[in-house]
Amino acid sequence: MKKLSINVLISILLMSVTLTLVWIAPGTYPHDLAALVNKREMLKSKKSPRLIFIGGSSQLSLNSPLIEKELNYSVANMSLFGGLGTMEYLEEIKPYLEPGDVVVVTMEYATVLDKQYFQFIHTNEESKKFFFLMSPGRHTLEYIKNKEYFDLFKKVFVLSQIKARSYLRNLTTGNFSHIFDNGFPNYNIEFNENGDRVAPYLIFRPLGNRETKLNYPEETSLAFLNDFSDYASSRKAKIVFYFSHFPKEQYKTNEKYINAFYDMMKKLLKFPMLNKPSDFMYPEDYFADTIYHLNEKGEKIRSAELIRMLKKVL
Amino acid sequence: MLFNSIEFLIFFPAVVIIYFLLPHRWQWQWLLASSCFFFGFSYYLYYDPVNFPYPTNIPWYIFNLFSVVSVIIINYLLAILIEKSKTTGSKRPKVYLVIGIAYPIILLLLFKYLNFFNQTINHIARLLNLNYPENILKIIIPLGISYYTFHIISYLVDVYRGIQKAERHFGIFSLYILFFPKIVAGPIERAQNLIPQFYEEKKFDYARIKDGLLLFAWGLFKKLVIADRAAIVVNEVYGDPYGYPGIYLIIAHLSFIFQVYCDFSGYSDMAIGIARIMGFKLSDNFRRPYLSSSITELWRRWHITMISWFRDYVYIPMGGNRVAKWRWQYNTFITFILSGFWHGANWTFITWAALNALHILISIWTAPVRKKLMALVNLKKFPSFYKILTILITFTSFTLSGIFFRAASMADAFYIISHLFTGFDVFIKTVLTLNYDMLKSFLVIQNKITFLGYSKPAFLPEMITLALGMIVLATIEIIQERSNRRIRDMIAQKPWYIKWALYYCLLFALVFLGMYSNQQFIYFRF
Repeated sequence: MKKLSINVLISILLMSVTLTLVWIAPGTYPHDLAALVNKREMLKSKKSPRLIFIGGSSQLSLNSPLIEKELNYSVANMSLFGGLGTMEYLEEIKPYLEPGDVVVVTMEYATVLDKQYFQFIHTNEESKKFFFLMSPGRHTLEYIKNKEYFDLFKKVFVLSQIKARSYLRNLTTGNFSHIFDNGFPNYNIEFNENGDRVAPYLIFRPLGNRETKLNYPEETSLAFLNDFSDYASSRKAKIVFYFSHFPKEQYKTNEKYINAFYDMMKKLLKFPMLNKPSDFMYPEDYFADTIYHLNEKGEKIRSAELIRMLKKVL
Repeated sequence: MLFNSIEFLIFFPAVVIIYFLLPHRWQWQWLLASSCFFFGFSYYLYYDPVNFPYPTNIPWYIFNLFSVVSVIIINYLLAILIEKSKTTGSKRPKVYLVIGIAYPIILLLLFKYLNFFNQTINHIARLLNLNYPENILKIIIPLGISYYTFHIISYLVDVYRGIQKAERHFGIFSLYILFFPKIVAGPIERAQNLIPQFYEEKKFDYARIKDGLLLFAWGLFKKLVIADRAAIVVNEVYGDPYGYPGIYLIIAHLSFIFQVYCDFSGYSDMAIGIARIMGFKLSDNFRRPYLSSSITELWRRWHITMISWFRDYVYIPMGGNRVAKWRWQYNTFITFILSGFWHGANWTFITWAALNALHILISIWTAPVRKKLMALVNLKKFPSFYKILTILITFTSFTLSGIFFRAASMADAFYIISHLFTGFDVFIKTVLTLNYDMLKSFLVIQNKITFLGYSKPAFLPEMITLALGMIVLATIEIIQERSNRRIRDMIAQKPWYIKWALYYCLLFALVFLGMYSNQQFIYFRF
């Protein structure tokens, strides 16, 4: 019995040490959301005053170098995936805010007006996992404070598993020079130095998500925007909001809900809004694969209009 | 309760520790109580609130409980009656035997095959332009019913044949049926192997426990590193095969062939390992079947306890091979069809079994021709090459028939078979013209967000891990096949640092490369 117990203990100890080493050692995570880590580093590297874009994949194709040139601000496009949640995103960038920074927020309509999607966002374990990776220290303290020890272990364990598989891939494919890269393995290929997506979205017809059914918004769910605005003011930074682009056809189908959203935001927000929803209603040939993603033609127009709108408030 | 679940990780050590602390006379009671808990808790875990909401379906749950308990009680009594009436020389034993076999089979047909018969009659009625109302019942199938039915039948037949004494101890008999390592998916144990072991005193034995733990860990490796990783590709492609070019159908099907083997042999290793830790020896269920050089050999190495059950209780009673040639071939065919039917009420399983039976018969019919052919090309001069060739042919045939085993319907199976080589013309053109844009069109999958079920960045690391897992498995199996020794015994003879290095690799693979998605074992559904 003694021998067995000792051997079991040694095995547990060995695995604990290995887990710690894998967790501490730098390495990549072959998961799209791991780009959050690279984007955090990119944000830290940009000099203030900065324009920090927060949004979903609809904002990934932005022409940040042009915005940078036109507005004379460093641009950090932190957008990645609408399902990550704006509230959680803003929490993550709080520690990095500096005086003079302007946070430009947009929210894809489904993230506010589709109840099922809204629920998905706030229960999505994948997002939680990679937000944890973005600032592990702060999240660890939160888990300990809430006595969620098992959840904390699970996050560290699952993330270490992803990293271990990445080591294995690099070792097998002879990718030795990239074994200890950080974050998303293809970040440098897929994103530019401002965090924009390099390759345009592929063109698919009919557009994806065209059947999305919207609903009336709930005011309480967006109160965090004003809280963030207060926080930004305390750091001598500010926040602006703009309504995302949408295909005309879907806009017409959901007009009453989108207008209700607009009316609510007008009443609710304590900070500037750059546009009305109808300003960014585009024909279908501006879109790439889904009702959220613009093609090159659409993006050229959206980025130019955004520059014009931002010039008014900066 | 899955062997690879957190629940089992808590349940099993608790059972084992208390088991070894208890005096011998209480050990069986503890095992029976644990097995009942395991059985009941598994129901709780697999509770399906959508199809079988509680309390609307209480009668089904009660019927499930009744069916298991009644099968145990009735067959316990019938076995004693068979034995007693045999000593008095009466003709009743046969009647008791028939009742004892019929009762669990009726329950099995009712739970597992009623809907199948219903649907088949409906199809025939439609063909004949008749009106037949198709009422598909939502049935909760009792856990492990296919397995405990076979345990019961073999026990009764063995008592009738005089090979096995009727068990007088009701608790031990119940434990034989409900013993938790094998209740859900076997191995199908014969009473003469297992029942005597419940009477023996089991003491703590470090070497035996270590052996059991290693076997359990190896089974877990097969399940978590290979089977569950391959399952994602398989489920994705077989879920909707119509959008995939041939190359992906081939990849998915090869993944399935390894998945099904690693899933079931992994489960069996875990079951045998668990029993071994507690001091019980369960029968081997797999013996490296993919290294078989003929289809007959493969079926002697695949799901051994089920195949030997069919041999002893179906094939031999039908006359086996000691009858006219045509009758022997008929016996073989029928035995296979029944084994296919045992896997599930679906024409896909029956076709799969029929194809394997056909392969066996063809190999018998063509044996003289092949012998002549071999002599003609002088293949005997190259025994290794010949062996590899026969292994490859056997594996390919088994793999092809496996399409029916996995496909959701006959239509899907035929689609997959007829599209296995779709797009290969483009591939050949690409190779000949070195036009790699063409290759892209060959590999592209339209309208899919994922790549064979994985996100695009995760695909390569997961596939590399899967490939490495398969290489490790193949290497170990080939070493064992060539040396005819267990790898655990070979490792035991190595110096401590090599042993620990290997244990470390196994642990690392389980912890960091395992898929902890609680994917159910394939053979649970049978």
